[in-house]
Amino acid sequence: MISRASNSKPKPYTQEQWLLAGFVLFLCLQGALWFYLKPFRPNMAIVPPLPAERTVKAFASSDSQLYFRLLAMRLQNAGDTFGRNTPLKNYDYPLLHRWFFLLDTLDVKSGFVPAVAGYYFGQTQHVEDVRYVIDYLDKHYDTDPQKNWWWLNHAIYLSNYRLHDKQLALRLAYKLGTTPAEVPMWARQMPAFIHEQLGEKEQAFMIIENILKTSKDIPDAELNYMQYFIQDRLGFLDKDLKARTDALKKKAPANAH
Amino acid sequence: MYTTIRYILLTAMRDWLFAAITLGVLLIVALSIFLGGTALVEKQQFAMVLSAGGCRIFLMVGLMIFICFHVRRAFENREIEMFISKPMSRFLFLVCYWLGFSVLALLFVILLIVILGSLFGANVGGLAMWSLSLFLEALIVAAFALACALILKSAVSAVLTSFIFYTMARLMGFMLAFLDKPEAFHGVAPMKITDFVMAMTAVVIPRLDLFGKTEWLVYGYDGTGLWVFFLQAAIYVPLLLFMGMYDFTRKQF
Repeated sequence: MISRASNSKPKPYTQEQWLLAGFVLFLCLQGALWFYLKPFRPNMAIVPPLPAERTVKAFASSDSQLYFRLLAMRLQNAGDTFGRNTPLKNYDYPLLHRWFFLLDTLDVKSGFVPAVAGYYFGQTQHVEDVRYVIDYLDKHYDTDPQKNWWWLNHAIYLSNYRLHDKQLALRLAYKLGTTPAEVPMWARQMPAFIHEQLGEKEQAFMIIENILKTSKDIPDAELNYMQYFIQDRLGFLDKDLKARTDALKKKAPANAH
Repeated sequence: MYTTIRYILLTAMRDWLFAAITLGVLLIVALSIFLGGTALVEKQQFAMVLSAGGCRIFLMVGLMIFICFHVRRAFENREIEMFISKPMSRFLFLVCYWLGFSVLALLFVILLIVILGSLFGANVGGLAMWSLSLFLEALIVAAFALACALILKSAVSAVLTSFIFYTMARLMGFMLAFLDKPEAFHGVAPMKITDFVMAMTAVVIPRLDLFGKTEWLVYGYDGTGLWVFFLQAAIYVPLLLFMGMYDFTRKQF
């Protein structure tokens, strides 16, 4: 019996069988790991998360312009990567707002960020989000009013025609009108145009009148336009309007205080 | 001297370095033009900055790899022994070797000047300063790679050491800012030991973060710190050559 039992002992596994078993075991483990890691996906947020301040400082210290261009490209293409096409209404505008200011810290002279903000992100279907763009353009203007007045003008356009917030547009228009630089005449007349749309023709007239009094060497074409604006659009020749304008002018010094 | 420099240039041709660097640069420029073309505005500035930044890194990495493998192979093939058997001091031989690599770097920088100037219309003053600082940076990198290849026994470890050195030198401004104002970097607790290590490291690493700013190509050179590039190269290149020489003179063949 003993000898029969020893004869029926199973054969030891060959080296090849061990290797195959090891391969199958680790293949199963890899499958289990895949199952465990399945929920861990790359961050597919529409607007990428803002890089940490440390990261920005580290990379910018080496070549800030290169890093700015890489981040700017990333912002422009946000939401439209990996075969996606995302409508602007789905973007996280508060986060975008922070991205704009972050990029300004790397290169405030570039026109890329205000252009992307104003011309592209300003076209969102969720109109209330345009406020973030307007706020950015307004503050970007403050960094260099002589160079950035165009972007404030665009903020006025967005306030007036997209957001339909005439009071905000008027506030920005006054800011544009007092830009300490050589700006086109129409930029200085901007508050008058907004006043006209608000039906405040007397104030509009006063803006134009002030420009006529304080400006030198106004081209003929501009004079013709201002005459047309006062006569045809404001109806300055109307006696009532003239009387009301005069009354408003008398009150103006008191209002100034 | 001229023979050694000519020898370096011939070996660069033999190893297809000129073709590889030129092809790599052209690929980077083509890719940058493509990426710049997708920008909403400032397409040319995008393409120029991406090209310049990419080519700078590519050029430095290419130089490091070539120098480290070239020197180690020269040791293994006993070419070094052949050179030092000639009536030329070891120090002069080392300087000639470094000069040969410097000529290589100059040729590649000229290639970049031609490409950036002709394709993108870079700001002339900015391009001049960018190229000058890039050349001086290449001199430092070439000297470091040469010293590493002389001291370390393996070409791979010499290349990796050179990479680490270059990365640290490019991030040195950040490290110094961290040392000055650790509270500005939220979430990182200042540690005395790491501060000490970083401070000691910063003393012996050159400030390559001040070199080759691509914003000069877009907005022009701001005119500050011109002397820094020259002074940094004038101090650091001899330092590295003396270091390499010290080890080289002690070698027994």
